[in-house]
Amino acid sequence: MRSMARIWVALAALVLPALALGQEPLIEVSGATFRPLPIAIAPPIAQGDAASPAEEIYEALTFDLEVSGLFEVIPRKAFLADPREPLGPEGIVWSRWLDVAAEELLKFQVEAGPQGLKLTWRLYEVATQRQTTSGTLEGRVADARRLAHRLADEMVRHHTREPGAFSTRIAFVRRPKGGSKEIWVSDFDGKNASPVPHTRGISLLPTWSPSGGELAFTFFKKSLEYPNGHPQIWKANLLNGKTSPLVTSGDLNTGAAWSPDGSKIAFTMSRDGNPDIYVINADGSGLRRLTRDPSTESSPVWSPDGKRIAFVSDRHGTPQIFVMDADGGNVERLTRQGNYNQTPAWSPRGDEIAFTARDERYAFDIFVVNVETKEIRRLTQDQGNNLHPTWAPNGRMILFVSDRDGDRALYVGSADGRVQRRISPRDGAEYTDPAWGPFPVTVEAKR
Amino acid sequence: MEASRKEHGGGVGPDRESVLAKRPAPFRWAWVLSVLVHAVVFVGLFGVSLSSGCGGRREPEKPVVAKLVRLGTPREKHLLPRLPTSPPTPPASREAPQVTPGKELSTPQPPKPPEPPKPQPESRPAEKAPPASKSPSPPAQAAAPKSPKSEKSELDDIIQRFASADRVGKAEPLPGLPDGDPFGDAEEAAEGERYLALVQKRLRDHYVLPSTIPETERIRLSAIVRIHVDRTGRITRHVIEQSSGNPQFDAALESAIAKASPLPPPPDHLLRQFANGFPVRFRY
Repeated sequence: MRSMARIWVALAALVLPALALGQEPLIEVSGATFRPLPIAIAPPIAQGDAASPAEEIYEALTFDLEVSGLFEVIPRKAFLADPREPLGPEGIVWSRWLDVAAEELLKFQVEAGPQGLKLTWRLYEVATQRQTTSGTLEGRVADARRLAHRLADEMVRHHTREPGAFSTRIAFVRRPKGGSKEIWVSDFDGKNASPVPHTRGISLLPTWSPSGGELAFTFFKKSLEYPNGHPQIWKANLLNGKTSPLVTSGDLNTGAAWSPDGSKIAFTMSRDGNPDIYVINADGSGLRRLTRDPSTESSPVWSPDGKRIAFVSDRHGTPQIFVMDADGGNVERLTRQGNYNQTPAWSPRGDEIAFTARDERYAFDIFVVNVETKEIRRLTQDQGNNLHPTWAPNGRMILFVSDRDGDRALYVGSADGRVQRRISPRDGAEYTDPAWGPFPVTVEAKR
Repeated sequence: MEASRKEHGGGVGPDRESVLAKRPAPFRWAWVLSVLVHAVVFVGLFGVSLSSGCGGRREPEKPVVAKLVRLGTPREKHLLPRLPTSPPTPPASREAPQVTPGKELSTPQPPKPPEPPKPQPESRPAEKAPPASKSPSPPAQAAAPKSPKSEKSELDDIIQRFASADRVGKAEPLPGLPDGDPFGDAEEAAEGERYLALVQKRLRDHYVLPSTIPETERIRLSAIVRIHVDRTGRITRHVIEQSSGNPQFDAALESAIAKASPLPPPPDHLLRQFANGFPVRFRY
């Protein structure tokens, strides 16, 4: 019995190491590069009087798909498309699209009629020559671009099963040369821009209500007591064009943020020179103080579930991003790199916070910190100063301010930082303080 | 001592003083325990090697994948990350930043030249104010917008870039292995089989996935492919041993493998081991 055991042990001692050593090496490959899908958009087929809106749709659609970060739109100059090629699939010369390395082909036709525009589209997989999806959209002639945005939304939904954010609106501050700051709203691509009534003067830091019907913003109210303006929190109703004050007490009120359920607004209030985070009900009742630190606390933003608030504090000497529970408890420092971190923006998925930071070269750039791992990734670099990020409601794009072209303008880009495009016109005005609005109610309902 | 020896001779049971007397019982346990532990380790190792698809083939050595890194010194912990920049060949560094405003983008993955960082120490005191109210010094490239491009401005631009490249070089030395991982630094480098690391890098260079794979799916993606190479490094065939279940992902792997061929030629000491190919696990 004993000798048997001995033999077993001896065997094990001999064989085990050999087996362990004999394992093959397993090469682990991770960290893929994500490549946008090469897609060709065929020149639009215009019927009736639709040539000009069709071109407008083509242009807007190209912009949307590129800036989504999901697609690489093959430049129109790269292929010799036959404008008479039908919507297909019969009659499509596939070799032509294969030659330009298009993996997908989007074809659309625009008809102009008394009812407005009718956009019929089809999406093909070039390699298999198979139609993968199709649809029809209708709208007013004046809304040609919005039809393009809706088509782009459909494309994002088809590929990612997530909603697109091209039919959303943005708010920002516009200051014409020598003029005063005013809140404006526009489509996400900067088009269809219009000022919000009664916000001229010094209006800053607009923030959307979750329904998209109202904005809260910082307004410098002038009075005898405050000839240069007293910073107050105001609300603007976008439906009826009326503005009303929300918080007027304290020395300084600024940086409002609407809670995701729309019931509360967090903001910075300073009393006796000590700015802290406060929260107030959206109807102006129930003012509560959340932070009680002798240092400066500012720029609150809510997590998408409304349970936490991120903010900036210099309690450890330099401005850093912190998070706390929505009642002010469990304060935790999030950023430990860089010595000037500010303007946090919580991603709609809740996992990341984008912020502005000044790097060791004194350039301001956009960074993103993971809320759990606290790992920081960089989105912009060596392109002037980049500030004040705000997320698209689907979390796939970021809007921010940059002075890379000499003037302060708004840029929209994919959330991985790969694509960045200017959306502000070159009209000499300064564009700052962007805030990306929520999904339109209809899109929200569909989710 | 004497006493205990005697007791041992008597072979009396529950006596704790005599080591010899107790020997038979505890030793049996030790044996059993030892066999059990070895058996568990054995089964564990065997199971792992089976589950990773390489149970059948055994070779006397197990090369470890080395980790090759690009940078000699790690970036200081308190600094914000920088996107990888290619070490400057100055002429190239003049080209890329010519971003036409409004046109194509800014922070591409591929080699990004060190650009004038516009550090302006004198502007430091002003930074106390929030950036919204601070008028940042116009970036260097903003000085040369698309306006009529005179030779002079171009020359200024070049001079400025050289000057800044110099500064960049001092602030951030970028030596190291040219085939190293630009994200890695000396702290992460690991010794091992260099060839495997080169294969890993070559595959990763071509490891491109479509952006359209939803984020929620990405974290679950993993597949194992067995790759066979010949003496020259050419990939003779590959077999997907464990599919990810996502056709887009599997197709992207096939394409990555096709593009990565030829791999570097395997060194002689690995040729025999690679007779049956080697497994590669791709993860998101």
